[in-house]
Amino acid sequence: MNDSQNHIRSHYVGLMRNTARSALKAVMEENGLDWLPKSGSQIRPIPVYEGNNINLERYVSRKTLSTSIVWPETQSDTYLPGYYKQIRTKSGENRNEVVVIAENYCYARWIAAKELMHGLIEDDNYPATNSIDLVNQLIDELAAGPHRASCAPQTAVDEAAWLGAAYYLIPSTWIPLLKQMISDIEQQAPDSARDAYLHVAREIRVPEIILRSVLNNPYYIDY
Amino acid sequence: MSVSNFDKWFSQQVEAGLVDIKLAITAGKGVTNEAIKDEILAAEAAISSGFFREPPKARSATPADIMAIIKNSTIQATA
Repeated sequence: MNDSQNHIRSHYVGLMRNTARSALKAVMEENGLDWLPKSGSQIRPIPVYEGNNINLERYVSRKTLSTSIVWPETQSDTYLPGYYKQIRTKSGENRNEVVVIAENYCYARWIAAKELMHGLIEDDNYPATNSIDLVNQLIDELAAGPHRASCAPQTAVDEAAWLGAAYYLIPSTWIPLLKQMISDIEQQAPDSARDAYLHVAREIRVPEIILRSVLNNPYYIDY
Repeated sequence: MSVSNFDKWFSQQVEAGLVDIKLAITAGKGVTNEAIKDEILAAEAAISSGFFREPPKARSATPADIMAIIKNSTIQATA
């Protein structure tokens, strides 16, 4: 990747982090969730599409465009657990549609949060994927993962959205307490130590591997 | 070069107002450009046909002894 592509990536990572932070603060505040919890009893999953109060899906609708998640009945989710579309309606207004194919609850929340992040990014559609050539480039680069040789703007923003989802679902201010929970399980229930991350991940309803990645990443920015 | 089903679908979507698409892709053994496109088309076919399911809900539960540990975990507030 060249300097320009790295610069674009950094831009979208920063934009996504700030966007996720704003969404998280608003949703937590309106749901009475503690920004700085002192006890495990204060920890609850951050709403993505659930509940009757504000959640991420409703926040995106309120903040930018009308947004909905659809849940198609399909068995084909080997490589594609979800995607995002922005559509201009016949009346001339744009709307967001997030398609979630993932079935597992924690995983579906993760995918939905990632795709909803796209609905919050306003960047004059610079990184839009709106031609067959751009779709092919996006698919190829995302499928190649870390082995790809280049990173187009639409790929950069797509990958940054994963980080946005992590920031949204795992508030950085919760990290010390989440780590304490894991430590407490390891010490007080040694037979369950192997599943300590899984138990804590289940409490906040995120995939275990995502929680592990965040808690063990010294560069996960605290704000 | 022949136009694939995906290309045809995508062109129709752009004509109908598609502005942007972003994807969550799980890279892995066997992943190909065509396999991903097939999964998009399968999902879109389900949507067009009105085949929807309920959003996933929590099913798994934490064992009571572990839950007690988690709920009683505390941390000292830092200034």
